[in-house]
Amino acid sequence: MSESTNNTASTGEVRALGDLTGKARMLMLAKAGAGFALLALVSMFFPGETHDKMRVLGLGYLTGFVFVLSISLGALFFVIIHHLTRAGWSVVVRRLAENMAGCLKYILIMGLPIILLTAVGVLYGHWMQPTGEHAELVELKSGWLNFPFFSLRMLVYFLVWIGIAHWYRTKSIEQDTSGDVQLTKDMQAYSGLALVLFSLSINFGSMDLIMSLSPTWYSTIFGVYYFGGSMIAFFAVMILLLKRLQSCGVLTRSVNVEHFHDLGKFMFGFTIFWAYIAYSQYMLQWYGAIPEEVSWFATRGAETSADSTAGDGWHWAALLLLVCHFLIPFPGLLSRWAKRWTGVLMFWACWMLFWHLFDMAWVVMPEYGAVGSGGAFFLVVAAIGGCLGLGGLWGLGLIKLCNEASLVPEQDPRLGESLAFENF
Amino acid sequence: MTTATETQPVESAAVASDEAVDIHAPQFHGLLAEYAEVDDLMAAARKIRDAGFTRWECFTPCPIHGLDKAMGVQHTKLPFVSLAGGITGCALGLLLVFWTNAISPETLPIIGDTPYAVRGYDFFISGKPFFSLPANIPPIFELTILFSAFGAFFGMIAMNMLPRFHNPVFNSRRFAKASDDRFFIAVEAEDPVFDREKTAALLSETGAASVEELED
Repeated sequence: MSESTNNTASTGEVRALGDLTGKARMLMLAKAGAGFALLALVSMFFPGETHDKMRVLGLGYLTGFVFVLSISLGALFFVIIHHLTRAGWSVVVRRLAENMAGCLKYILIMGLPIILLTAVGVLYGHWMQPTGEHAELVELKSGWLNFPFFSLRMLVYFLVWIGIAHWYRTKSIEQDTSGDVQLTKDMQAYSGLALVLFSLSINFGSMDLIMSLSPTWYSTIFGVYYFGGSMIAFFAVMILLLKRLQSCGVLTRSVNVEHFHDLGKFMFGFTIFWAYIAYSQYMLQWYGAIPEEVSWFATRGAETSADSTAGDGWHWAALLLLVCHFLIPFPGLLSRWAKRWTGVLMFWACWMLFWHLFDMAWVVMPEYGAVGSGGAFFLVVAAIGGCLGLGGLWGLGLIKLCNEASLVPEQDPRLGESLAFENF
Repeated sequence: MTTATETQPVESAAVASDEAVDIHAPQFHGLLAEYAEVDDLMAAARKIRDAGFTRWECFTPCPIHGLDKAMGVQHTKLPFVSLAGGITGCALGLLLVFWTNAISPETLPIIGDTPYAVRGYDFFISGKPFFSLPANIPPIFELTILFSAFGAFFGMIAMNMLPRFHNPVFNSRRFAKASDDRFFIAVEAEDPVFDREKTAALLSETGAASVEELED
């Protein structure tokens, strides 16, 4: 503690939330309240039986869940890759990433309603109670897609994620006071293993959470698609968080335009990565035009040769995603100046975060079924409610973690390099 | 050993210039100032920038942060060349896939007399339309990347006026240390602000370890 106080004194910089905590908590609570209220209202007034309303609620909640999960997993990957590459520039923003990844333990608690909704048959009904024309196909997969095994897998994924996040965050905070370089060496030594565990778990995790909503569909690239979106979401949240903190007088010196520039480069790069993966997934299945493959895209309004009534109401959605998630931000973020002018960068971070949210809604919500354009619109509103609500709770967790240690790894051996970092 | 290798090129250069004295008399090229420390170089670069010089260059053994700013170097225009290359590649890619896959006398009567081999093939693949963007994105994408890389690569070569095999600074013996532990500023005589005595005095004032005249 005395170390960080000294450092604060010598740099003249605030590296803690301090008095901001109360105000930030209220903001997050308001966000959570408004989000859940929105989700509840849309579900309540959605036409249909009670079961249908419950499905809107469940899918909206699931969208919010995969949305906050994507931010934390992006942060976890950032921490791992930082140590794996022995990066220098990113030391000043690493503690925030560690805190975001630390929120995974709160996300585990947020996941309990999903297990509950699955148990009562609201979510994942396709394999919980297989009926209809594909029932036979789905029952063949019951060895993997059954409730006890599903719950167990969720637990395992989260244990892996929470374990890695907790280990890295604890070591890093320990270094704040001890200044032991061996801690950095340990963190680097295990980063390869952590990356392998991370890659496997995010792949299978996204498969279980999102792909199993439509159990007859398969795509070997879906985990990478979710990962690409996760990274965009993480960098967007990081940029917004840093701008917000700086406007409140926190981290005003250690984080400068050079770090924003690099975060912007990453966000831009992953925007292209996402588009590349999304296109690869779509093009192969569109070309093959095998019914069980293209039906997933048909349901989501993408152009396919399949019967397009499945995507009733969603015809605008796939094209909108292509335009707003890639075609507009690509030239927008292309220039060096767009990334160095932090006001502009902040705009694009907001933009990308929203369209990542929409991406998650596009992946999850059409599972409700054909609803017409108005219905689809309200399903997206329900998803926004879910994301706001869980995002608020996630933010509360983040505030708690941010108050546990300095916002900068005070004794990291590469801190000086990061503070002096410059782009050419 | 070191002395021998250092002196030899100078001698041979002197001999060469003696022989060619009638046609290629050594001409005054500019001034070369040597600095021992980075800070001296940076301070000197700022002074020369502020004095309004445009035709001058710094030589350092390693990259130095902030030297661009100290020299007042304008930001590179290379990205625009690369962008133009990318747009060209994208347009060419579109034209290529359109011409080879989707052109037929029915859709475009004007090409009716064009030899079959030149006008494309009307391939009917997998029940997709002849001109079908999802299938055509890979070649368009690749051509975009290829041409923007061409733009960046050849644009860089052209803007740096490369290849260039000789620079008068190589005539200085001291300059060999530019790849070791010394920092140099060379000011060309062709600079409109250049004045042989005044510029030499200015360079000496900046704390140069030595100032010498360059001949070419």
